Amino acid sequence: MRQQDEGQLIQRARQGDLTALSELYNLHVDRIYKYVWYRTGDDQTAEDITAEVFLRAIEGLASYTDQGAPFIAWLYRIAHARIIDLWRGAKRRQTAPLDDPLLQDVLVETDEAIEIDFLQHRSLGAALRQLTDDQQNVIILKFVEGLSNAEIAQVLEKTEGAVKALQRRALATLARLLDQ
Amino acid sequence: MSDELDAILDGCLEDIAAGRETIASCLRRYPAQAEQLAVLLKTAEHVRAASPPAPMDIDKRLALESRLLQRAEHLRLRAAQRPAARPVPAWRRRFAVVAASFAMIVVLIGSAVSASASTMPGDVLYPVKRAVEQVRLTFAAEHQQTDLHVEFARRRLREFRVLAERGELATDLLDEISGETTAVLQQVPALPQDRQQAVLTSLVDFQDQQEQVLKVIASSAQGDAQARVMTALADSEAKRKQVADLLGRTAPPGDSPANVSPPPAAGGETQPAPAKPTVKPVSPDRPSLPDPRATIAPPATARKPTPKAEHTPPGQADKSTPHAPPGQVDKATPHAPPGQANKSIPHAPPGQGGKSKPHPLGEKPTKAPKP
Repeated sequence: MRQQDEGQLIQRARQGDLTALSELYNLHVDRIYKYVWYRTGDDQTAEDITAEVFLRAIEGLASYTDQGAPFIAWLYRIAHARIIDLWRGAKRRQTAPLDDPLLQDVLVETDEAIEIDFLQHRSLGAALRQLTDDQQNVIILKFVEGLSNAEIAQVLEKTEGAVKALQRRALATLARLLDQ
Repeated sequence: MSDELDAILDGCLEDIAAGRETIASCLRRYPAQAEQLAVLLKTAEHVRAASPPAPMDIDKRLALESRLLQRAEHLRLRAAQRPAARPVPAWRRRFAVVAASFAMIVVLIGSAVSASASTMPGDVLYPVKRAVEQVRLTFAAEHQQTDLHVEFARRRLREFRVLAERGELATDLLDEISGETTAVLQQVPALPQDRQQAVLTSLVDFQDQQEQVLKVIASSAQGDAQARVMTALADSEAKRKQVADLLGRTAPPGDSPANVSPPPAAGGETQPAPAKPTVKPVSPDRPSLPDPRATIAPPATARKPTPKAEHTPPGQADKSTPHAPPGQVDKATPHAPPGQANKSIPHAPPGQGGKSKPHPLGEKPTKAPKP
């Protein structure tokens, strides 16, 4: 969608046009859900966070200002903040053994026995979630969501040079994790 | 060196994505970096080639959309009511504009500002005090405005109490108090999680103080003045319920977050309903705002004749009691406090796959959307 068209849609949504709001939602919900799903690896968590992202977006729409970035960049930032909150909350409650997510990810209960086989069950998603927060964002936004470096820079509020450096380090780390 | 590799890598990725190059052709183009590039480009290709997860369940997607539209409509209606919730007399608006300009000069000088801090309505420097408040509010960051509204409500209450002790019932101050607390309740949902609890607790403290003061005054007030005080008490009660509801939603970690299905019952703390004053209102009809200096009957031990408060003829509705109707807070949109998982629906902790079938990227099977 062109920036100008999107701007008009946002303006109409601000003025209470529910059709415009519905259109904004349907334009972006899949991408936000996909991003959150890759970051969390869980259906229910992804649904919950996606819901929160759009609820907060609606409540903050009146104060949203177009700073040259697409609307989805703002939504990604909200989603990112919620994911960080979720991780902090999980760490406080100590319900997730954050030091060994791969162990949890591959634990499979079968009729015969509980088997743990890193070679058999290692997944790209699990490896992805071993990266740093910024690295995960760059990989998902670039190679899954298809954003350009400039757009990623707007979402993460970094320079394009920083995005390229993150990209290289993320791919290098990911390659190392997948080869282990 | 790193910058050079970053640029080469990014260029190759872009060319490969556009179909202008292949991994092999890129490696031939950059033989010095081929060994490093090969690993990075293949990993990128691996990520790109992985199948995406299934989209959000269609029923939940539609349910979320419906919920969002309801929320938006609620916000729109609340915003439409806002101007009526804080009526400001025309003379005070004009006066505030003039005083604000004057206050800017006074701030630079400094001494008049500090001297005005303890003034009361009717004092010469009281307009300066109010103008400084407006300036503070204008230049405050969004997350600081709620604190200012609570502070200003406390000030108005203190002024009201002092004037009442002098035998004057400044009922317009009650309207202003209501306006300040309404502003707090409207702004709280937009605050960060850790700020919401603090602000709401501060508001509850203020409401306790306000109700104590109003109950004492209501017992000795008469006529229209008493009716105004009773109205203010009712407003405070209604807002106390809103605060309790909000406190219940912003409870510490461990509580359930938002969900697309109907929200859970509010389990937050509830405030006991304040005891209703024993004195009954004079009339259910609410006259318009009486003279701000309407008098109340002095204590029996020091009784002396005082002029009656002026009031508009009966039958005129009192439109000067701004407060959110009880239950106005949206109960259809529970917000998950940050960092809180949904306990009601068992699922794997973040970053960890569930027990679903293995999937290339996160081990999730592709499923067809429901019709």
